[in-house]
Amino acid sequence: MTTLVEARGLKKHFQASSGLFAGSKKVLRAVDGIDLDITAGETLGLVGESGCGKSTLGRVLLRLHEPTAGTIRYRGEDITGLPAGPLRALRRKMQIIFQDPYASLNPRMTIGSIVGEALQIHGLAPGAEREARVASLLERVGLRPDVMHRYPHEFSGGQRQRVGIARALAVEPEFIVCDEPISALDVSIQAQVVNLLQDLQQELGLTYLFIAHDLTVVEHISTRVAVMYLGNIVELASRDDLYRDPKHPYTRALLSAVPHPVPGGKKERIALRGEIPSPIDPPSGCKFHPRCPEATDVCRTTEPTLVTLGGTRQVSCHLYPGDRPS
Amino acid sequence: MSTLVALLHSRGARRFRKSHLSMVGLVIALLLVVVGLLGPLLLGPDALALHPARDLAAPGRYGPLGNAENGVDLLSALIEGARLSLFVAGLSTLVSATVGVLFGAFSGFVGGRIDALCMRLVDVLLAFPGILLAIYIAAVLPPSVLNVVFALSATGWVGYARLARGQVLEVRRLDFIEAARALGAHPVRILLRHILPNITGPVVVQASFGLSTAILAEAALSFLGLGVPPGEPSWGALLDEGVDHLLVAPHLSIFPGICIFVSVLGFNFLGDGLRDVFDVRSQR
Repeated sequence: MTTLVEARGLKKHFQASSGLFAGSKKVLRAVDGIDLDITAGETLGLVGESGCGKSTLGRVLLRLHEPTAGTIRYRGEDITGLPAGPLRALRRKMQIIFQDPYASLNPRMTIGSIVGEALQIHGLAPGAEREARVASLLERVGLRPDVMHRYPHEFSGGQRQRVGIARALAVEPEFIVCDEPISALDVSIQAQVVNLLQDLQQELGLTYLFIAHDLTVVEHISTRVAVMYLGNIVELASRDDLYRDPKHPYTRALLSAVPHPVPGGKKERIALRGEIPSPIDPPSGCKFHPRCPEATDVCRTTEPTLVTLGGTRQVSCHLYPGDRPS
Repeated sequence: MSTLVALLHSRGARRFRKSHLSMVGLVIALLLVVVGLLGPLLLGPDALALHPARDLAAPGRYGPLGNAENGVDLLSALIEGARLSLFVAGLSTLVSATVGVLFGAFSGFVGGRIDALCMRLVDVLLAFPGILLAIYIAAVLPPSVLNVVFALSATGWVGYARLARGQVLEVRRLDFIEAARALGAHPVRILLRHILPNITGPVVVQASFGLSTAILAEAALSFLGLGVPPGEPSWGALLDEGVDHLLVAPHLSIFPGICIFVSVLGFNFLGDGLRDVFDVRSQR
């Protein structure tokens, strides 16, 4: 079990200027202090409401966004301040698959040049070899090789998503951030793409950070699951632990919102009050306290820390004081 | 090449073909280009010869459109003028668009302080009425065809810079740009292969409108005597000549005026049609 990606105290703040002549610069805390280890070969599911910073976290880990604070290590090497040259070489190891298959492919390039560009950039498969390589990549993701001469607009969302996957695979990466790769697809297509991702993981030994808001899909694909709320991880546990016995009140509320296929089954819907607060002006103390059904006075004033519970589970909530240090 | 084929079969192209005005614009534009390119062949070697006896002759007497000062055949002069006017308009539009797009795309792509600085420069230039600045430049420089092109380009590029910057800002936030960065693509590659090809549509539309503006601006400069050197029969220069004889030989003003009017209208119609073709909504 080697740790592939390791984040410590990771923060990403954006300047949010309000109005034409913004006097006071406001700060949007998209990612606000995250410690996270991703183990080689696993699929770490990352769930949370829209705007909680999941996508930003994924992009910061790949250094597509520069972190405001904290460190990122890849295979033990600190890549936080890596200059452009070595970073470009590192890009071969880490890739990303996007949510919107319509925005993620350049409409003016053929499928072949979209997938082949990765090979070109890194000097893999020169000359005539490239076409053969692109063909085999397309076959691997379930497309006919002759689609390489066609343009993205000729394809459906699911097919485009396959092209996006082929592009990511072209550089033979180890780690792929899947940023809601199926939430823009038809339900009938979703399962195909999830299965494809799983097959590829098996064959190629890939590690995934699987970002989603569909809890059922995350349960299906993940080894471990992290729950994010307003820029922080509030709970992280193995898939079975998290789904069987969620600890954090937010996780419990999320899971209670999943529709169950058995009619008349036990339903204890925990309805969250209110909207997700703005990450520009987050609540004091525990950021979840205004919506938490179990909030107490300490939650309003003191921010909880992520503590280990029962060995492997991590929770950030005053209800759980954590394991006693031995 | 196949992008072009795809474009020709797109919904927008079909709308273009159905629209009468767009087709009229296309026909006028093609006609002008053909006349402009084939002009010397159509005319023969001594078409612009002087015939003092035919000075200011009315249409129909010697030539279908009459004769100008010193008996120059007006139709021949207008055909020669088409070549000149189109050359000036075409070259200045090309220069404006190239400079403007590169400047604007760079500005939008780099962003930050450099972008702000570039755009303030553009704002300053846009604060002057373009034709005024062109008149000033043309007045300072000695009269020559290339100096007219320079005067028109010096003011014309600003609009393209604005447009290109806005387009770049829109395109650069799309996921395929992020995908290219994730693959380790160099910023220059991202700009040239991913951003510029995706902003060509609006630029081509703008250039079509730009051609008509340039024809008009060239005519204005030549009319004021600041354009092409004396003796070069650009439409504006012919119009200028006609003013001196407005009461005796009105055809000298009317026919160049019609030429300017029709070609400006044609390129405007064409631009409207092209806007439909490149409309993002018709691309999916």
